Amino acid sequence: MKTYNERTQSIKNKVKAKRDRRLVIWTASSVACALLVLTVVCSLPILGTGVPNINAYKNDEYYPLIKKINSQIGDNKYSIFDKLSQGFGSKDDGNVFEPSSPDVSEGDNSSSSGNKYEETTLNQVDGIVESDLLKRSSTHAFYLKNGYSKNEDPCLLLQIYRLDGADTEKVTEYFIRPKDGTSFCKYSAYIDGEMFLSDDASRITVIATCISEQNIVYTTVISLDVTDVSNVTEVNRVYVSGEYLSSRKTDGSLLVITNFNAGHYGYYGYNAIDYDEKQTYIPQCGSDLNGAFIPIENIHIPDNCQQTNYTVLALLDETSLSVVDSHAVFSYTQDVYVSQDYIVVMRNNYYCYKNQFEYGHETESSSNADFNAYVCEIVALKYKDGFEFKGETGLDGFVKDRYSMDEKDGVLRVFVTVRHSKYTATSPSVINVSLYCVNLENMQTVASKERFAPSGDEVKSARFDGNKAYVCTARLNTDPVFCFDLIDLNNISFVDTGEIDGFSVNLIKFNGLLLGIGQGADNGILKVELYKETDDNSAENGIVSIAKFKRICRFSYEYKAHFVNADNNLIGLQIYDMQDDLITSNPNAIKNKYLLLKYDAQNCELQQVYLDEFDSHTDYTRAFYKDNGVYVFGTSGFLFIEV
Amino acid sequence: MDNGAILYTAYLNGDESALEQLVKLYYDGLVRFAYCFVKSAAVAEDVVADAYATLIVKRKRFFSRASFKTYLYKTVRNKCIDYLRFHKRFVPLDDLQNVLSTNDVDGAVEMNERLAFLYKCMQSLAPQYRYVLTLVYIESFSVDEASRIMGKTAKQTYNLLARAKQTLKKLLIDKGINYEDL
Repeated sequence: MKTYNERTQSIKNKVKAKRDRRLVIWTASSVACALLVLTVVCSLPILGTGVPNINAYKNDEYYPLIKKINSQIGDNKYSIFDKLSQGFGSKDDGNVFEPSSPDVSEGDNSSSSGNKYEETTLNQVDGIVESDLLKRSSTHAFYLKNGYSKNEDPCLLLQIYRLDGADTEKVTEYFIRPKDGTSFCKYSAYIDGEMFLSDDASRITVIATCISEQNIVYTTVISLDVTDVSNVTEVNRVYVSGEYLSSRKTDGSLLVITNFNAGHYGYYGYNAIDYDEKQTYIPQCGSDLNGAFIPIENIHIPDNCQQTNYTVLALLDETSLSVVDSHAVFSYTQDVYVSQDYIVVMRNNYYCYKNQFEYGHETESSSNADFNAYVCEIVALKYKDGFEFKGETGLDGFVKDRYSMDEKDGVLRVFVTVRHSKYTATSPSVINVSLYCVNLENMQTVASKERFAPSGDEVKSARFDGNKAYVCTARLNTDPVFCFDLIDLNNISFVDTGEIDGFSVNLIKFNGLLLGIGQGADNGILKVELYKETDDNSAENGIVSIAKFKRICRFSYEYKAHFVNADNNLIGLQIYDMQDDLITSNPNAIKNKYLLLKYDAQNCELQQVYLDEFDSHTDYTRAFYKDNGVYVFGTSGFLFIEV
Repeated sequence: MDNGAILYTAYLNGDESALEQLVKLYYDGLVRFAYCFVKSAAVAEDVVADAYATLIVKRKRFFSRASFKTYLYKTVRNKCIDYLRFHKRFVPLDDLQNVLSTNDVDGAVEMNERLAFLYKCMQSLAPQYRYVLTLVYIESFSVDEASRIMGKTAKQTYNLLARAKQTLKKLLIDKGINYEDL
């Protein structure tokens, strides 16, 4: 049996052999087909075979941007054959639904949808509402069905339920179709979207990605009047350039964030740049596909750009969807954190360094570097009174997601996984976890706790609660959970649980305790665990596990798919149950189930109160508590659990 | 972005050590999966190495929406099918043990005994049953991910999985093994 080193060497040998073979084939083909290839190349758009001449655009107001994009195109390492094919990555998860009805509401003539919005989503920041698949009013629930559509009519489906305990019924299905020549899916059959519900429960705003006939990707924002749930009507529709990334609602405004790829392979294909066609490389916002271009003064172009992507930020009025403000940062984003005052966009990048990590002092190539390192690059903006760019910086490590960061009093606290790989024998490889505190007004690191976890650990989940921060780090399938005290940034202290089996992918505050939902010691085991911080100075660890529940099953890592109601000590999620032995007495046994747990504080136990069939995708199941019952909504229907 | 995608991107950007980490992450599972097709440990290793090499030579950029692991398994499956088209021969199962263990000094986790036993029994099943059981129960893919790798709909994969388990159960009973003890 080969060692990993031998296997890696075998792969490299094959790579060399393939490349040599390719060279021979290409040389022979080019001699035979020289004229034909030249004709094909000349008729193609310029795709990196050479850098276009941009002198003609010197007087264009966007010339600084054109220069930057052009310099990035020259660096793109794609061959002409790469550009002739589309990017890979088809997404066909999720249930199939086949819309067959015309675009009208069905069902009986229900009364209006109710007049009060009730929160169902576990928002990361109080007062900043996040979009989701499920929203509800006092009387109705609204579920946006995502999934995989194979027919010629790909669309989103809004389902409206009248809430009445076990007698709850679906009263309307409304099909949301693309318009203006766009399509919700072109290169993949997967459709997804999210939505908001207005405070008076009269308006649903749906946000989804779509593609124009010219293969330009937009995010469409659609406003629906649901005052009369039996007669849902579309009120307004606007478009923002780029693929939908995230959104928030605050103070009557919607913040929509997208990733706009220019001259680059995106998920939906290749977007060729034509400097005569501004919509191919400058982001837009507006009521149709010819919306206003974001002004050059609102586009921030950092020195350190690696790809021709933008993060587009659009602030829309929630009622009219008119554009209040728009901004773009010339680089892509992987996730977005939004607090009451700040927006932080983040991406993980990769650079080479000599001697030590120092952001902004990267080496040109690995040949004169000691090590390479993952870097979390963040850009901060204020947004309450219009967008205001604050600055950017890079941290030593990569960030998992937005839950790894939190802003308090203008200071961003963020957990990162540090990963250095050595080039020389003297520079060590490092995998560990660090905490950084960055002043968002000047982007300076004001405090840190570096490499505090056991060597080899990575961030698995994090949550902030005022001056406390919790992070679960893990290597393979064992973790400690750390509790940080951040009241004095000059003296950051922490306690931890010590090594325990499994790791949490979601940490949530739960009635003074810390709830962790995650994986057990082996793959395929769900672990739900409660931790308590001890005040006992004699205790070996300052945070201990007090209750645990395990089951062999698959579950979703999506935070919003985890139902947590601390007021009633309830925790629920959709699972694919594999607790029974691999070979069961009934091979057709139901596996898709909804699991509901209740915490018994008196006995410190997590008790299973419900586990039964519910056919739904684990990522797309949502639930809320109301009137002594848990309402569960999923891709195939609805479930009411009396508790 | 999953780990595999990050490491792959790192390797394309020049980090040679990222390739070895990618190998550690997925290689054993891919070899077990490939073995279900080609029935030879040596050939399975060769196919998997070829799949990695293809990915590197073609340098396809990977973005966060899809699972890198799923893509890798699908590539290996396609490579195995190509191999079988040209090499229609079978070899005995006596090198199966080589697929289930590793002698790497870094000590990769070995498959637990129960799963290893089931994996061996699965090799007697029809090919489609082998593939789906390996993907779902050995390599811990969801049914949706397994359906993408196998090029089937989720419903087809559910049905296939049910039939596969039924057949495996019958096989174990025929061998005199009490499956409830597994």
